[in-house]
Formats: sequence, C-alpha cells, structure tokens
Amino acid sequence: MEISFQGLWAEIERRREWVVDLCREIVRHPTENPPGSTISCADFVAAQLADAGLECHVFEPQPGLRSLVSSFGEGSPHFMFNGHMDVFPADDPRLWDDPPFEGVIRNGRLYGRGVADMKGGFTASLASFLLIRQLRPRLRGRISFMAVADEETGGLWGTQWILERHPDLVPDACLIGEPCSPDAVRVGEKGISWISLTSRGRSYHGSLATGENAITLLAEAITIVKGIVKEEGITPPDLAVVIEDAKRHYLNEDYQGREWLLEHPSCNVGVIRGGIKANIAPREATAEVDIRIPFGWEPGQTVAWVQKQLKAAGLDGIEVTLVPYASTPNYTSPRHPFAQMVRRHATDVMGFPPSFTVTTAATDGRFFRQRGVPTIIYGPRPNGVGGLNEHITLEDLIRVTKVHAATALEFVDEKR
Amino acid sequence: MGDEKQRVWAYIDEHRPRWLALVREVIRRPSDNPPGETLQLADYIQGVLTEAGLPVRRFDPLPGAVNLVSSIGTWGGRHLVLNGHLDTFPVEDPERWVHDPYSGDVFDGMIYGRGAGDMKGGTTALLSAFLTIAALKVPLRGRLTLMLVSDEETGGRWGTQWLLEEHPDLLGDAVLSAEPSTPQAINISEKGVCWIRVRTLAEGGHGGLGKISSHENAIVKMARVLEIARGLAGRRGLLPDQIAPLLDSSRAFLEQQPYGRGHSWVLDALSLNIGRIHGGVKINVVPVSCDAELDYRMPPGFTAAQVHDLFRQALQEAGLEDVHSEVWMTAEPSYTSPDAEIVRLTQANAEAVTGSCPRLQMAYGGTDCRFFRYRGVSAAIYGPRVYNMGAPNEMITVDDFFTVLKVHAGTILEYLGAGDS
Repeated sequence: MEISFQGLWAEIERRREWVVDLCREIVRHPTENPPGSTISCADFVAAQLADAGLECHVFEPQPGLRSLVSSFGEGSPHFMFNGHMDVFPADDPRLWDDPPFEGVIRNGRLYGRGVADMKGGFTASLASFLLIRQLRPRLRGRISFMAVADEETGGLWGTQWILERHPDLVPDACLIGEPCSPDAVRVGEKGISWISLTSRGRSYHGSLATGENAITLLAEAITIVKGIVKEEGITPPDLAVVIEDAKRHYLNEDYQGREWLLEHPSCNVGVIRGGIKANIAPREATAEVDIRIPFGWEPGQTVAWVQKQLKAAGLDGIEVTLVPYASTPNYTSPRHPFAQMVRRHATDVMGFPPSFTVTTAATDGRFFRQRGVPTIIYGPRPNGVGGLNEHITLEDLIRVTKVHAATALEFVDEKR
Repeated sequence: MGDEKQRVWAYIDEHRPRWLALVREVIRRPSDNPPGETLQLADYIQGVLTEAGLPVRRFDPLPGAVNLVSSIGTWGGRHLVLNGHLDTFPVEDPERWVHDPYSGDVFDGMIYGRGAGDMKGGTTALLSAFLTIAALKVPLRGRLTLMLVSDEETGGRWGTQWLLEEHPDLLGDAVLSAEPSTPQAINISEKGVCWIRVRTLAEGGHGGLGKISSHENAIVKMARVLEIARGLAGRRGLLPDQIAPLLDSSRAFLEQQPYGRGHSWVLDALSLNIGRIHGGVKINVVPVSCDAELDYRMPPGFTAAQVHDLFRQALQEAGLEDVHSEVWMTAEPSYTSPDAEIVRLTQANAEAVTGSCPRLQMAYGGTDCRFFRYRGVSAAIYGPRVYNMGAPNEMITVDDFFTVLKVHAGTILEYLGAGDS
C-alpha cells in the first residue's frame, strides 16, 4: 500500500484543475451520434495515455466508430473502467445558451453536449486510471480502461463487439461513470424495446383530402401507444427494497415526479417522418418509439401490447415491428461485495451512505452483466441530457473521480 | 369563319400522328417539381416553335425553370393568352407504374405518363393548336400568345405570376387553359390554397424519462395539433351568387369521375392534406421540435387569412397558442363569370366537337388562371379527363387529347375573329 485513500483524494483535490480541463478537452470533441464518429476523441484519449507511457489497442469495426482499451498490471483480479465517447446530437446549437461543444464553465457548472452523458463520468474514469498509473502502486492484479463508440445507438460496434471478440478483456468487475448522482449507486437498469410503426396510404392530390391520411392515422396511433406507461412490471425480491428506496429519493431534477418509471414501461416517440410535399397525400409515415421495459418484461411483449391496442382502435393497418436492438432488464445484486465496495467509498466521499438504485436508461453495463460481471454505475448528477444546456457540477465531477479512483485502487491493490 | 374552322379542324385531323408524337416527346422529358427543372423540355419546345418559324421569348427568373412565350397575329386588337405549364408532380415510386412514367406510351387508346393529365396533354394541345393556326397562316384580328410556364406545381411565383408582373403586355383580354376538366365540363371557378407550416416545440430530454406529455414531447404535441387541424376540414362558407348555382351539378359531376367519387364535398368546403411531417432526431431522444406542412383548400367566399385565423383560434381554444404557424404559400379562390365571352365560346365549340354542351363547373384544384382572374381577366379551363392524377399510372385518353385540341383551336378562331371580314 503506497498511498491511502485519503492521500489519493488529496491528490485529486490538488489536481482538480487538471481533471476539469481534461473534461473540457473531451467535451470539445463533437462526437454526436448520429453520425457517431469518435475518431478525434479516441485519438485525444490515446495521446493522453501515451503521455503516461500507456499503450492502447484501437478497434474500429465500422468506419469512424473507434474504440480503445488500455491496461496495466497483469493477471487477476481484473478491474475495468468502461465509458462511451459518443453523445446525443446537440439539435439546433442556436437554441443553447452556450455553444454545445466548448465546455463553458459558469457558476461551478460545466456545460456542453455529452458532459453529463457521459463525458463527465468518462473523465472521472480516465483521470483515475492515469492517476493510479502515475502513483505506481504495486498492483495485485490488472486494471483496464475501455473507451467505446456506439453506446448511444446500441453498443453493438463498441462494448459488445470488443467483449465478444476478446474474452480476455471480460473483467472481474466493471465500473461505469454513466450519469446517476454521487449520492446513489446504481446496480440495475430497465430493458430496451424499440419499436417502429409504419402507416401506409395511397398517394393522391392533396386537394381532395379530408385530413385523414397515413400521417394522421399514425398520429392517432402515437396517442394510443403512449398508454403503455400504465402497464406494470414484476420486481425481483432482492431489488424490492432498492426500488422502494429509489422511489423515495428519486435522483435528480430530471426525474422528479417520475418514480413510476421504475415499475412501468417508459415511452418516447423519438422520431416521425412522413410524406414528401404539402399537397400530396403521403404514401407512408413512420414513427420510432423507444420503450424501456421494467423488470419482469421481455422486449417482444411491447409489440404484442401495441398491436392489440391498435386493433381495438381500428388501426390494425399500422405495422408494428421490434427494432433488433433490445435488452432484458438486468442488475447486479446490491448484496454483491463489489456493490458494497463502491458504496463504501461513496459514503466516505459524500459523508453519508448513498442509496442503491436502479434507473431507466440502458448502459453498456448490460453487456458485462450478461457475462456475469458485477457491474456498477456511479456518475455525476445529469442535467439536460438529450435536451438543451446539458451540464454537471464541477463538485460532482471531482466526487465521482474520487470514488472511481478509490474503488479501482482497492480492487487491484496489494492486500493491506 | 365556318370554312376557316373546318380547314383548321381538318388540318388537325390530318396531322394526328404528329400531335400524338409531340405529346409523347413532351412526356419523355421529365420535369418533376420538385426539383422543378424544366430545361430539357423547354429546349425541346423552343426548338419545335423555332423550327416552325415562330418567335420565342425565354425567361428563367428561377434558373432552370424556364418560361416560354410566343405571340402571333396582330397587335392592337384583343389579345388571347393560352396558358399551360411544363412542370409536373414528382414520381414517388416508379416501380408501381405499369408503363415507365417518362415513356409517353400510347396503349389501348390511352396516353400514359407523369403529367399526361396534369398537364402535359393539355399543354401539348395548346401548343398544337398554336402551331396549326400558325402553319395555316390563319388571319387573326388580334394577338394570340402561347405562354408555357414552369413552377406551377409549387405556386406559380416564378412562372405565370412573374410573367404578368414583369411583362404586363402578356396579361391579355382573356385566357384559355387546358388544365384537366374533362371534355364534358368547363371549369370557371377554383378553390384557393393556404399552405401552413406548423412547428411544435417542447422541452425534450432523455428518451428513458417517460416524457409523453405535449409540453415535453414535440411529436406528441404535433399529434394534438393535427387533430385540431383536422377539425377544420369540412367547414363551409358562403359561395358567391354567380357560382352558387353551379354547386349541385358540379358535385354530381365530380361524383361520377373515377378520382372524384366520395370527394365532391370539397367543392364548397375546406379540405385539408397533411402532406409532410418531420420530427425528432433520434429514437431515444425526446424531440424538441416537430414540423408539419398543412395544405388547406378553401372555396370562393373564404380568404387565406381567414383560414389561418380559424386555425389559430382552434389552437388557442385547445390551449396550444404557443404552437408556431406560418402561412408560406397562398392562393385566393377565384372565378370567372358564367357569362364571359371566352366561357361561352368554349362551350359552343365543345358542343360542336363532342355533340353535347359541357356544363360550367366549380373545380377544386388550383390553376395559374387565378393570376389572370385576380387582374380582372376572364379565364376558361377546358382539358382532358385525367386518370390517376398525381399517382402512379397517370393517363388520359387519346380521344380527349384531340377533342381538347380541336375545341381550343375553334375557340381561338372565334375569339380572335379569324376570317371574320
């Protein structure tokens, strides 16, 4: 044991500015997905690793979708940080108070697209990884940092692709800085069921139209589909307390009043497209709906539910299909030692014991959990994810960095 | 004059293969709008006119969207304008066409192709009538102008409207159009157009948050807006006295047409097409904006401003006054008196060619004739019956094409008092 956790945290306090600057640099690489290219960000990260004398393996299974993995130490236990570099699209930058890719700091907050999801947590992992490397403790095992592309559009070319082809990279535990909140340790997540709805009509001159067409029928269908949020899930016994707890302290302003999401499907009509021109009746209109299913649901259930409701409303002409990107709800038991370890460090950093929680958004954590790897999410409190003026507090960034660094160190450090 | 007309009709009959070849060549030159480029077609027609020794003026205020004007006869007397457009609806799905949409195939008495009915058949009929009168050197007691425009399908701003604004001498005293009507009808009244772009804004956010209310999700809000927009469809106003008597027969007639069955209510009511919707960027992001394009058509008695006001009012009643809407293309309704000379002459010539007197009719589709009517010029529309307008397998009959050609030629002769000395 070369340094104590207290010493580690003091070191992080001393390097506060370095951590913040690192995060701003990362935000300045516009990795919007779509299109999803992570090249510039990955190269920046690789350069940081190289400066610390670390090599990395670069993967680019699809042009532009560049991921990398870097490790030091060897054998087991094998601890891994995982984080994604791609971010949501910024929408119209003019709608933002500040340019979305500049990393503006105001009132102790860092603004930018992706800073919450998840370049803040990503930075906490990267900074921890670099710091531990620099402090050169004698490792008992191995520590890895995996920076991936393609999380926002499914992970099939990022985390999933790497783990499938490199079983040696499947770790003994994984920590991910996805947004959550420093006063909560996230152990599980809902499943994903994306569906698409297609409404078809006959194209004819718009001057004969009554207003009913492929687009308006689809609009009616949307109104029906969102009723799925009234359905319920079935909670596994070891999560019952967690869910009750999560409902009581629901985690951030974005989630206030949304406790129901933990036990019900969510629904987002994310995209709609139809028609080509004002005066032609549209031949086709499509909508894409993102449904997050609660524990107890399987992805295919949503399609059956929607088809049944549409039929009852006389809208069975609308085609419903499951997008081949789906997951079953998954979790790591809060009783698992690794979950307890993260919580212990978070308690020390925060000054009180954080609660365990499960959340609604999916993460690449599912690819680790599917392989039996205990996987915990611990990240900053997000604001404006996917919307405008996304930001985190600098305080959260530092706290998360401390917990990430301490957890990694404890997991791989020599036994004390 | 009777002799002169017989000579003209005989010439048309003798040269049937030439006119049929002409319409095929016109269909073979795609002029889909959008994008609206008509260069290839305009070059071809300009060549045909030039080869016939006729003067052609060419205007393209919108590059690539060409307008052609050719005048013959004597200046100083009355002036008749033949108005036709070169652009067509776009072809959305060529695989659903039995014949290539740009083949101009003639099969089993039908002329197939994009624009065959709207309105390359009619435009070619006007061109053919013009070429016939020029070829026979028919003495005209007035000026005859052939005006072939682009940009009709997207509003006429750079076609007829531009020509009339920039070249007031092209306004004429009366207008003949060959937009589709059917040989049994002359259209003298048309509905107006009010295109509204609507944009909903909402707060957006991460897709996993279950943000399904209108203020959160712009697509959900748009679904409500569309429901409200539909509530105005079918609304009626008060038809002007001169055309009100045409309503019942116009309705009955429209019901008999393959494209009009079940649609005759549109003649005196607001119709609505929601032609395009576009919202959101990604399935798992709550959309902050959604756009839709609405196409309302209003009968005479309404103005575009009134339609937009009705829409705004309905939004307000639903608590959706924060929805943005913008009127971006309008055409006021227009009509010509049933007693106008050009209408009566067209009626008489149609009766002479077809054996039955065509009825005067209210139409639902907009035409460039409105730009003349706004300026006090009478306009009569007489064109072929169109099958599958704006849809795959658009076609007209060969018979209709020739009927329209002969009726227009006869009407021109009488309006310009040809040989009437």
